[in-house]
Amino acid sequence: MNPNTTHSPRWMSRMAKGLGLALVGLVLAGCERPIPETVQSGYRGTGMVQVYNARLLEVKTEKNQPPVAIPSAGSDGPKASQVYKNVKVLGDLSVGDFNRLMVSMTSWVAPNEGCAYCHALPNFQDDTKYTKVVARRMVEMTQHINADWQPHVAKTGVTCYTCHRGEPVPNAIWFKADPQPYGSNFIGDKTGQNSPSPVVNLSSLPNDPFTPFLLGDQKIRVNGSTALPSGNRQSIKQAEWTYGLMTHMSTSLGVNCTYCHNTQSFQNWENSPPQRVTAWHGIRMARDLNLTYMEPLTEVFPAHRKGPMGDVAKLNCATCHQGAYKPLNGAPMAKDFPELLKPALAASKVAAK
Amino acid sequence: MGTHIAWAFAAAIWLFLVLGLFRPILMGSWGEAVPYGIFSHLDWTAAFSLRYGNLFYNPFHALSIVFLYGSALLFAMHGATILAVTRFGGEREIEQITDRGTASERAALFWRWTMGFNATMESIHRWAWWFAVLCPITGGIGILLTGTVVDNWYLWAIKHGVAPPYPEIFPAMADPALSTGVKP
Repeated sequence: MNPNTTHSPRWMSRMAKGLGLALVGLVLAGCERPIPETVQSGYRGTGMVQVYNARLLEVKTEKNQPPVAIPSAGSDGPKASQVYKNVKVLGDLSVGDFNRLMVSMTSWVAPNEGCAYCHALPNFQDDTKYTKVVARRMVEMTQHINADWQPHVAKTGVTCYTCHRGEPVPNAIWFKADPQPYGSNFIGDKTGQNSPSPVVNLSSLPNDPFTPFLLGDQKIRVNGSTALPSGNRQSIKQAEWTYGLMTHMSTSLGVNCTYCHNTQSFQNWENSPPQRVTAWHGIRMARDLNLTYMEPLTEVFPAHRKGPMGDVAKLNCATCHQGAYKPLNGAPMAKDFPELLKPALAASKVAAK
Repeated sequence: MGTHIAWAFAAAIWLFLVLGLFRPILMGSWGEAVPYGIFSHLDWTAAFSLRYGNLFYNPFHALSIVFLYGSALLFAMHGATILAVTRFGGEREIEQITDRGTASERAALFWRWTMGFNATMESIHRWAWWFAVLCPITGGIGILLTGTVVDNWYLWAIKHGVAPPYPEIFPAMADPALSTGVKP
């Protein structure tokens, strides 16, 4: 039979096939590969689950491997402060351990640039490079975190590598966003909306939730804690700022809301997973570090290291976590460097220039 | 013409004014109003539910969803029915209201046999009109009550036995902001 005599022309059936294939493609585009694994973490039927994608988890695991620590040289022998000049923070270390930390720091922070990234060679004691002044202050910050912020970092602690990961500037830092007070025409104050930003996972939530919460101490809690109104004046707009911060936390840690919250009742502490307390301290820690360590370094940094508003680089949850629920998936890296676990002597603390 | 269309539009305008004018005024803050923008207004709905304790426990929101999905279902059922009986003159719905023909009879029988109940050529339009109009009316009531009369719909639902209380399975934990000696 001549195919040209059938009822539908050939192009029509071809088009139908093409459209069918396109439809299948569109439907499958909504799928995630491989099928994500769901792990229950709370009472059945309440949606308290964590969702894991094995493919993405593998990438994340590879990215979060700690480097092998150089063995300690022992605490015997002369102190660094007796042998070297201008050692203000780590003077109590033996020369061997001091050099071990310096070599480790080079591989953690400036593996390609080497010692000269911070030191004005050949004068190791010289403080003319801004990087050296910053690095000294960052060592103090690391000690402060490990000693005073154990509610957040526990005994796992942090090292320079927790944030730096072989980069002179950590991958995830933040600067103040240009507030752009007015949108086009009559729209008025945009407050960071309608400008999808990776900071808030490409949602339209306010895209600089850090300035109010991780630098300022604006109220994060917005939920009503009583059935009927009892004086909570937080608005939906304020809820969106909080939502922006929480979205950042969720993406930074690679977890769902239910990692910390019982989403049935966000404000309820009694029915929340214990991780929420750790995160609560984490918010305060980030704020403390930004205010006490980063902001005072503003004048030390050169202009090209600052943000569009002229402010210093600051840290948020992603700076350390980098997609993992615990930085480096909880590898206890700091225990190999006891000098980073204790605070420097108060007398030897140096303020930023 | 009757005033059905005007009233239906008024229902939609009621919801619009509740969201952007009446409720913000009652709450005393323009920060309660819906922002402009496709994605930002969707984020607003999520933030609304986060702030006021899960809107799904708001009974008027539940009614509004019933009427919203109900409208879509009725429209699909009605459209399909009329198309199916067009060969019997079913597309002349207005005529069939007063002069019921075989199209009306067959459509009615189909639904009576399928679900035990049928609308008539006239009443199906009244059903659909009320479903459509009640969607924004009940929704507007639910929005207007939120924050003004009820601050947390989940806790309200627990209080009135609408939502079940779940057992506490996590280790006892207190709000760290309440303990002494912590950093603010």
